[in-house]
Order: sequence, then structure tokens, then C-alpha cells
Amino acid sequence: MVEYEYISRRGSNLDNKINIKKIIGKQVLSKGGTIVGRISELRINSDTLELEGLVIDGRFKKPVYIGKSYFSHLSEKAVILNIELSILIVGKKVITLDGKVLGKVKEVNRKGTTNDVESFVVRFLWRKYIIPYTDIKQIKSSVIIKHKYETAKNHLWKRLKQNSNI
Amino acid sequence: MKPQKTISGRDLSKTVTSEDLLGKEVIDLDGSFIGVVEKVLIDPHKLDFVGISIDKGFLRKGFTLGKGYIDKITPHAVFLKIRVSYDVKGKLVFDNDGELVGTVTSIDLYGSKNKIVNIVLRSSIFAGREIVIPAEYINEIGENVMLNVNKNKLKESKIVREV
Repeated sequence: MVEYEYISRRGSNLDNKINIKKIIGKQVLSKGGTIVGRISELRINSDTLELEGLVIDGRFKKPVYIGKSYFSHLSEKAVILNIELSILIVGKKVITLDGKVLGKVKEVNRKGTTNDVESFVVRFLWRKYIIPYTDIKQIKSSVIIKHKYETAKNHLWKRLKQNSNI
Repeated sequence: MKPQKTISGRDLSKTVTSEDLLGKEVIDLDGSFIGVVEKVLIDPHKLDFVGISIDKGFLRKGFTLGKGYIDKITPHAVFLKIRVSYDVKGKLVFDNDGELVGTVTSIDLYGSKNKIVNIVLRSSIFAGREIVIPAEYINEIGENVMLNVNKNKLKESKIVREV
């Protein structure tokens, strides 16, 4: 084990202090154990000298920055978040209250840059639904919504009639 | 189609038939698709509906489920009140530092109930041996299993036994 010469006002204790070099490339896990990705960067505030967040690169279209308020535990093995990332809802099945599969989540609209969902876009074949967060009962393996979603079928002959009226 | 005549003291208009149930998808508390209803189980003495048998698909072992675990039967699916414990099998297990401990190979249940007593895992950090972890060490079960202890405490613990 390496012995250090300490120059510190807070004493000579390296317990609970993590070597940042070791954490790069380690996994980021969500609250429920979903592997979100691997850490590519750790960001430190140059004014306060405090850790601000981390960047996950590779898995998503764009690198994802996660602020430290969403961290639950940080170790040299991984970072565990205190949330389930809302961007990972994309691709999940959406089920209505009566068990009908409405489609799959194609897009998630969040409140600003937070993890809070505002609404999401569900698509099934040519149908598209925008479901507000208030209509969601739960988001886990699938998204279950509070209502029965019955949309009026827009048959081809009705559409032709509508177009001719225009 | 002519409506059938009914000989019963009760209103049977809101009942469902076995035909309505068979083949219906079964969805657990988390919204996971468990399988489809394969059989409807009826007590021959009490003439009561006691549960359903679930088919999990090709080459996967199905199971039966008591009616106490059924939340509701809807036109498109059967919803359960529980997350089926059997589903934990195959999930990855991480300690509270986020280090991978192993993969769940089997589970011990409390009798024939849905309550987990222990999870058995094939562990990478215990030289590929199988270890038994009691349910009180589980913090959360989501897509994977998160423990509330770290690897060193698992090693020290006398509760964890090697199989």
C-alpha cells in the first residue's frame, strides 16, 4: 500500500475518498439495477471545486450528463443513481387500464433538463398518441396508463370525405 | 344470436367464461408480461374458481397461481396484485457499491407463497461458487437485484452459506 505525505487541514484520512481515475469507465446503475452505461467523464465545478455530475457516452445518441443530485452512492466500482432514468422509458410497452397494448414509447418529453416526465409519445403503426404524465399510473417494466384509451378510428373513406369537404 | 336462458338465483351478466380467460395475457404488478392463461382451475368440491395456470412460452416452465394474487380480469388481460418472485431468476445481483455479485440461479420461497426467503446465485466474486443470500439483504428488485450490503460484508456474514 502506498504511503502518502499529507498536506491537508482535514487530517490524514483517505477513507471515503475515491480515486477519480479509477471510476472512469465504471458502470452507472439506476435505483433498480438497470445498467445505464459507463462513465466517460466526471465534471467538477471550477469555482466550488465540488463534483457536479458525470457523463455517460456510447449508449445513447448523444452523451448524457447526470447531475449529482441524482446520485445515490458513489464507489470505485460504480455509481448508483437514486432514480430510474426517464429517457430509458423509450421502447417500453404502454398498456391501458384494461390491458390493451397501445404501442411503444417513441419519445419522452421532460420538464426542462430534469428527469421528470411531462408527456410521452406513443406510436403504434400509423397511430400516434401524446400521453401526459398525469395519465400515467406507473412506469416500471411497462408503462400503465390510468384510462382506457379509445380513439375514434379514422377510416380511409372518412378521411377521403373530410378531404373532399375541404 | 339468441340470448341463452339462465337458471340461476344470481345475476350472471357480469361474469366471465373460461373461454374469455384462456389465452389472455397475464400482466404483473410492474407491468411485465408473464405469459398467457393456459388453464382455469376450479375446486371440484366447492365448485369455486381457485386460480389459473400460466403458460410462459416455448421451452419455459409454466406455473399455477391462486386467485388471491389476481387483481382484475379485463377485456384484454389478467392483472396480478404481485410481482412474480420466479421472475427474479436470471437477474444480475449488485452489492451496495454497485459491484456485480452474480446471477440469480434459483430462489427459495416461503412454502408455496410468493414471498422470497433466499436467492441462490452463481457468484463471480466467490470463485464461481453458488451462494445463498437471505431476502433481508435485498434492497430493491427492479430490472436487476440491488443488495443493501457490500461484498466484504457478504464474505464475512455467516448467514451467507455456500451451496
